This record gives sequence, structure tokens and C-alpha cells, in this order.
Amino acid sequence: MTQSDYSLQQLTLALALGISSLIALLIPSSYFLLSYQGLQATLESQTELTANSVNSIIRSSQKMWRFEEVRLSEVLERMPHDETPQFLRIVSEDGEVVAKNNLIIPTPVAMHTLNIYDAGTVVGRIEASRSMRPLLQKTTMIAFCSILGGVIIFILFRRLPLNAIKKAFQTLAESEKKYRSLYQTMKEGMALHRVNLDENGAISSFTVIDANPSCAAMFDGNLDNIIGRDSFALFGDTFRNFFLERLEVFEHGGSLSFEMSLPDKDYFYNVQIFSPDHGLIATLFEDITESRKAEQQIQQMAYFDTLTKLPNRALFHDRINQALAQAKRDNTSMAVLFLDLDHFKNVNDTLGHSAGDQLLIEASHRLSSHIRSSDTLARMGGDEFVVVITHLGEQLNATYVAQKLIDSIQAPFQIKGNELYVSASIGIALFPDDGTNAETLIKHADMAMYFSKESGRNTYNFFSPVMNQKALMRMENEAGLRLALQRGEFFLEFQPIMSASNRTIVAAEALVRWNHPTRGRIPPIEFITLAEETGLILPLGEWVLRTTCKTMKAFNDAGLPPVRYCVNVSSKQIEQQNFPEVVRTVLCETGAKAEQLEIELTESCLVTGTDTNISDVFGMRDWGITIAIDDFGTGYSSLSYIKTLPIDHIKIDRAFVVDICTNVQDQAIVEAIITMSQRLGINNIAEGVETQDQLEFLHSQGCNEIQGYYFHRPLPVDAFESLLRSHGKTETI
Amino acid sequence: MCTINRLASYVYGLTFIVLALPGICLATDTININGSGSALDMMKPMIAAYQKSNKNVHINMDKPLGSSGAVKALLAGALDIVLSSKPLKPEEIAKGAQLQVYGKTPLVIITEKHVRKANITTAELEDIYFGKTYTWAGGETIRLVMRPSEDVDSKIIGTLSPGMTTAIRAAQTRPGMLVAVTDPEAYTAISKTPGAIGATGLTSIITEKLAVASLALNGVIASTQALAKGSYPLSKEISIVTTPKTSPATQKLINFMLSSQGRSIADKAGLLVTIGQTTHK
Repeated sequence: MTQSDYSLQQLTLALALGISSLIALLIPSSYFLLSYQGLQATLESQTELTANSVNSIIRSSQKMWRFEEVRLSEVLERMPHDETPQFLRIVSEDGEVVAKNNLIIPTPVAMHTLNIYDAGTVVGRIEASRSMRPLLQKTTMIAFCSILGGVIIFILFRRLPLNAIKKAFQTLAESEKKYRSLYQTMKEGMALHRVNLDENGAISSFTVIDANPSCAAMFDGNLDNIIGRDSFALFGDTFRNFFLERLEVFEHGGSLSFEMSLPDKDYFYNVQIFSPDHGLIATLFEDITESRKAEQQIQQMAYFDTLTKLPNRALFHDRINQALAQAKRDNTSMAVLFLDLDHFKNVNDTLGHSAGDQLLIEASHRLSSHIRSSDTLARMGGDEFVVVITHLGEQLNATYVAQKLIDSIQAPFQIKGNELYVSASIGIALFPDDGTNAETLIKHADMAMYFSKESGRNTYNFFSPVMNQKALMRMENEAGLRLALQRGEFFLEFQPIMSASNRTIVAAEALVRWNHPTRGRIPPIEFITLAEETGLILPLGEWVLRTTCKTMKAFNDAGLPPVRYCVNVSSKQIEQQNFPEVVRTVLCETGAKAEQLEIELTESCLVTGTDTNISDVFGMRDWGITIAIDDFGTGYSSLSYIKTLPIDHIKIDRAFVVDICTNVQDQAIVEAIITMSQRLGINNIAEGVETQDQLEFLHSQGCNEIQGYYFHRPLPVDAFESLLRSHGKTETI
Repeated sequence: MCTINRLASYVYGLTFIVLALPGICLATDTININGSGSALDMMKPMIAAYQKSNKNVHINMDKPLGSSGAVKALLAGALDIVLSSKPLKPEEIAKGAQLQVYGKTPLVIITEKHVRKANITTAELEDIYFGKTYTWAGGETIRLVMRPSEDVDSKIIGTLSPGMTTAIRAAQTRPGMLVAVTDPEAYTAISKTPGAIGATGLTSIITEKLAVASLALNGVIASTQALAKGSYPLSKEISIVTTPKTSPATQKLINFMLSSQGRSIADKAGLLVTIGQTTHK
């Protein structure tokens, strides 16, 4: 029995006792009191009546009235009264009984006395008495009945509530047993958490105070290990995050449900949370792993191609629409590539559909390996595949993807013992140029694909003729670029860098040039970017470095002034793990002096490069190599690297120099760069100086070195050699 | 009201006698007498005769207190002599009361004078007391005038038969009955109430010259002679009750009552004197 049960019993006992006592005592006592008062009133009226009669006798016989025994007795006898015996007597002043009626009434008695008078003088009194025995007998009877009633009431009041309570507790116990059984055997995991508060009354944590076996099986396997543990530690971060975010809902008596997964166990749970009582939170974990897997299977069947496991047409439409929405929102471009295997039908016809299916599977694997994870490759049916390329950037990047896909298919397939050579034709449609919705883009890509088929297959085509032309040119450039290195079509020019103070040559920037056999000289802006995109920048950059070092060595050996030779390095080269090793190798192989070599980096190189790579590059300063920051002020405006990296030169971009005499903003920027570099002990070089005014301004501001057409355009090697040779006085570094 | 006037006339008469003989009485002795109504009625001619030769004695006789009340008053010193129709109680004797049976008078059944009835039997009386008979032969309502249960008259009538006692007790329990406490009240009520019936001493009928009809009981007419012969069944004794403190004047009166003159007066008043001839000085 609980404390509350005991209290309830005590309460019912007290109530029953109180009510039954009231009934047992109040009724007879009330009856007695009321009856006694009635008796007294009767006696009072009787004495008054008797006194009236006696007083008349006294008035008629003032002296002898006390001896009028017979008359007085008759008065007393004849006094009207009810059935209750009443004893009356007249007592004289000296206490003598003058007259009385001859009744004997049983004790105890109730008596009332009233004086009798003779002309205002008290001469005696009348005493009227009635037995209280009948009253007491009736009172006793009533008391007995009342006590009996009280006992019955007590029993009723005592037993009925207790029976009801007992029944309620029994029902409660049965209910609890039933629900405990359900709780213990239910498939769902159930846990009860206690809300722990900190000293400020805020919720600090939750502790598991109860859990059913299913819950134990889901999370730990042992109830003893679960109860008492921190809820979040037990159920994981997903639970914690969801729980805390929505805590207010539970505090207001609401309930929530969410899905939670345990990745390490590959389990999925539908979690329902509610607050059964103040300070308590209950969680119900429903294992939905099977249903989730079934859903996944259904989704797989609904949205993925059963043969290749690639997204099917339905999912593709969903993905492309999402990609389109994203592209529209971010104002970026995207491409849709429609790919069809060439002569696939022949495979089916000759080797059977199973071989065709196997080929499709293999082909899908190869295609998948050549796209980014953010892109989508889908099978549209038969031998048709579609690729969505998001965040395309340069539109011509689509050609690389297309070429990679074509190349990946070109390698022979081993299908059922046969070596199959397959090609693919691809059509490319670009967003937003070739269409702004999925249907249009797919249709146009499909059309471009057929154009590829018509063009002889094993190629790609853009839907737009202009893009086709550009792609063709780029393809030619890329091919030419590869051949150019082999054929030695690249050559260097050197643009001298002059000392601002004495106008002597202090350095020369090596600039790569491409002399195409048919197209003539191709501007660096056209092939440097292509070289970076294609990765050809690595061999090209190394060629530039090596050629520069060779030139430096040759010029040094020829006794020419030993100026600095500045070589531009691409971020792609910096990203190369072994760039310093390449430099070392080149220096060793060419015999060039490290002290005359300056590596020019752009700001973007410093920002995008890893800390390790940057540190390695600046580590070359230990060999005597100097580091210059090219195009300063046009890249990322992070000055932190200026402070932390040991930079030797800052090259002020020509964009700030060109209008320096007329544009006060440019003046202010250049002044600031020069002042900053001076304060930091970094030499500065102004690029693109073309006029006397520019030169004078820069000189007046304290610029250290000048590069530009004002002094020299980039010069072929022999011209630069002649310049150096003719340059009588050249400062040594 | 008539009773009161009658009593007042006694008082006035006696007062007149006393006031009319101031020169005869050398000293005035007062004798207070009371007792049973029938006895006092008998005493009226006795006192009148006594005072003729004893003019200096003032005899005071109020309305009757009844035997018990008078004895109590005697013992309390309020009376000098009591004429009782009851025997003394032991406690009264213990207090000094002394009784001499003087004689007895027939208890006569009387009716209002217009009731046409001459004789009544015990059975008729029983029926009247039981209430079985409630009209006279002429249709007149019988109005029974009762006496208190402790009164000697009721007890005497009850001696008529065993059924009579029961009948009297039954009558006393009947509501609305006429009850006369004293003898004067009884015969006054009977004389003035149409169809009334009751009982009173022969002395009262003779001395008061009551206008009532006396009935023969079971064929016997009430008289001292019939009483002496024992043929009449109802009588009540009249006794002289005194105390050892009896004054000489009182004793003298008693002596007069016991004298032949006194006995003669009593006999004429309807009393059968039974006490022996005794002379007291």
C-alpha cells in the first residue's frame, strides 16, 4: 500500500467516523434537548395553571388556605394534563407539604417550581414534576436507532469508498499490469527520460530512467546499461539535435515525431516524443529499417534503372529541374550531354541482348567514373545516356567532359569473351543559351547528338553552331598546344625591369610565346588559360623555367650582367606537390644561379594553395631564390599573407598604373601600396609604365623598379642579349 | 354563590351575638371550630344553644376545611376543636391529636328536588356511577355530583357493594364530572343542578333545610332510627378531635356537647349520638 493509499484510507475512516458519530450523537441528543425543553415548558404551564387555581383558594381563605388539604388536593388531582403522569404538590413557605396529588412518578424527574402569593406576598410554591424516564427511554431508543444508523452509515461510508478505491486500485493494477506487459513485449522501443535542471532552473540534460527490452535491444542490449545513462550519449547526436531544437514543444505538452538513423548499425527509427508528466519525456522508437529499405528499394525501382543502377528518366527529370532551379538562382550555366552508343544495335544482334546489357553496365560504370559526384548521369533507355553538368563555369568545359566520356568508351570492352570496340556520340545543349527548361535542353542535346552521328560518330557536337566553332577551335588549340611542346613552337621573350632610381636593367621577366606554324603567333591569353585547364601548364611551366635558367646560365657564361630572371608560376604548378623539387632539378641541370631566379606568384596562388605548398615555395628563398607577388591589388584582397610571408617584391598591376596621372583613386592606391611595401621592407615594381609622367609620379612616390613599354617591350632572346650586352652598367643583384 | 352567602350569614350571625352581649361577657374566649361540613352543620344549633348561656365565648367557625385539613389546622394551633368524619391517622395521633367518636349520621342519597325518584337501589347507583344509566325516567340527564376520591363520603358509598367501589373509581376517571370538594359545595351543587344526584349527611339536610329530594336506599329511608336499627347501610361518624392543649373554654363547649342538652340538640340535628354520658369539669 502506498502512502497515498494509506492517507486515502485514513481520510475515509475519519469521514465515516465523523458522519456516523454525528448521526449517533446528534439525533438522540437533539431529541433529548428538544423534548426536555418541551417538558420544562409543559411543567411551567402546568404550574402556572395550578398557581392560578391555588391563588384563588388563598384569596378566599387567606388564613386557613394551607389547611384546605382536600380542596387543594382536588385542585391538584383535577389539573388537566396529558397522558404523562405529573406530580404536583404545594409547599408552604416553611417547607411543609400542604397538598399533593397521589401520583408516584419514577425517577429521574424534571421539576418546575412556581411561587404562590397572597396579595403579593410569597406564601409557598407549587412544584410540578414529571418523570424523565419515558423521555430517557425514548431517547435511549432513538439513540439506539441512531447508533445503529450511525454504524450502518459508518460501514457504508467506510466500506463503499474503500471498496471503490480498492476496485479502482485493482483496476489500475490490472491496467498497469496489462500496459506493463504491452510495454515489455511491444516491438517498439520505449524509454522514459528525466529532465535534469541546472542551478538556474534551465534544462541541462536528460537521464534515462526506464526503458523496455525492445529499447535495450535497439541501443545496447542490456537494460542495466541503459537506465541511468545520459539520453544524448545513448541515442546519439541526431537525437540530441532534434530534441533540443524542439524542446519547447514538449514543454507545452505537444508531441513530435521524426526519423532518426544509426548509420553505424544501418538502422532507421521513427521517433515519437511526448511529455507524459511534468519533468518527464518519453520516447517511442519504431524500427522502420525494413520499411525504409523497402522504400529505398521501391525508390530504387521507381527512380533507378534496374540494369545499370543509374538514375532513370523520372529521376533525371527531377534532377535536371533541380539543377535548373539552382542555376537560375545562382545565375550560373549548366550543360546537358546526350550520349548514344554507336552501333549498339549490332552488339545486341550479333552477341545477344545479355551481351548488350553487359555492355551497357560496363559502359555506365566507365561513364560514371568520369563525371563529378555533383553531376548526374542517367540512362534514358536503350543505349541512350544523359549527363547534367552543373556549375559549368567556362562553357567549353563541357567539351572536356564530353571528350572524356567519349574516350572512356573507346577502350575495348571484354564482354563474354569478346573484345568489343564501341564509340559514343554526344550532343551538348547549354543553359541558358540553348534552352531554359528541361524538355528543350534534352531535345536540343538529342538533336546535337544526331548531328554527331551524322558527322561520323565518335564525337560530340554543340547544339549551337557558334559553340561548335569555338569547340572546334579549342580542340585544335589543345591539340596544337600538345604538339607545340613537342615541336618546339614555344619561345621566350624577356621584358627588362629597370631601376627607377638609375634607370639600369635590374631584372627581366620571362614571357612565353607560341609561334603556331599555320596561325602565327598566338596571344598568351589564348593558350595559357587552355594550358591551365588542360594541365599542359605543368610541362609548359617547366619548359619556361628550364629555358629561362638555360638562358640565364648562357648569358652569365657570356659575361652579360647577372640580372634577376623572373618566371611566372601558375597555381597549378604550386599545387603540384614537388614544385620546389622541379625547380631544384632545373637549377642543378642548367647550372643557373638560384640568386638570379625570381618566382612570380599571383595573389590567388597564395590564397588557393595549401599552407604546405606555400611554405615549400617560400622555403626556396633559403636557396637564394626571391619571391615576387604579381598583379598585386587585382586578386584576393587579403593582406594577411603580406604580413606573414617573406615576400621580396610586389608588382603593382598595370591596371593601377595606366591612369595614374589622371585618376586620383589609382594614385591613392599606388601610393598606399608603395608606402605599405616600404614600411614592410618589400621592394615594389610598377608594371605597364608607358609614359614619362607615369615614371615621374612613381619615382616621386618612391617606387623601386619600373617595367613597361616606356623603357622596353618584351624582347626576343637575342635582342635582350644585345640590350644586356650594350647596357654598360648593370647593377648586380 | 349561595353557599358563600350562607356562610357569610353564619359569620354575621355569630358576630352579632358577640357584639350584642358586650356587657354580659366578662372576658371574651374565642373557640375556633372546623371540620367536616356535615358535622359543622350539626354544630350550628349546638353553638347557638351554647352561646345562649355562654355569652362571653366567641366561637369562630369558617367554611369547612374538611376532616384532614381541620386536624392539620388543629395540630398547627389554628383551631381549638375539630369535628371530623374520619379516623385519625397514626402520625396525627403521634402529634397529639385525640379523637372521641361523638355519633354518626346517615349518609343520604339526594337529588335535585325536581327529580321524580323516591328510592334508589345499589344496582342503580352502580349503573349511574359507571355511566351506564345517564338519564332519569323522565328523560332528564343524570348529573352525578361526586366527591374527591379521598373524601370519606366516597369511601362510605363504596361500602355498599364491591361493584360500587369499582363504579366510583370508574366515575372518577370519567372526564367532565362534577366534583364537590366539601359537603356544602356538594349539596349546594345538587340543589341547584337539574337532574343532579349525590350524597350528604342527614345533619346538613335537617339543619340547612336543604331544598333537595332525599331518596330511600334499597327501600330504606335514611333516619337516625333506621341507623340505630342497622337497617340503613350508609352512615358517617362524627368525632370530636382535640389536643392535650385544649383550652378550658373549649372543654366547656365539649362538655356541653356531651351533656344531655347537647346530645338532644345533636339528635334533633340528625345525629345518632353514640358517645357515653360524660361530664368534664
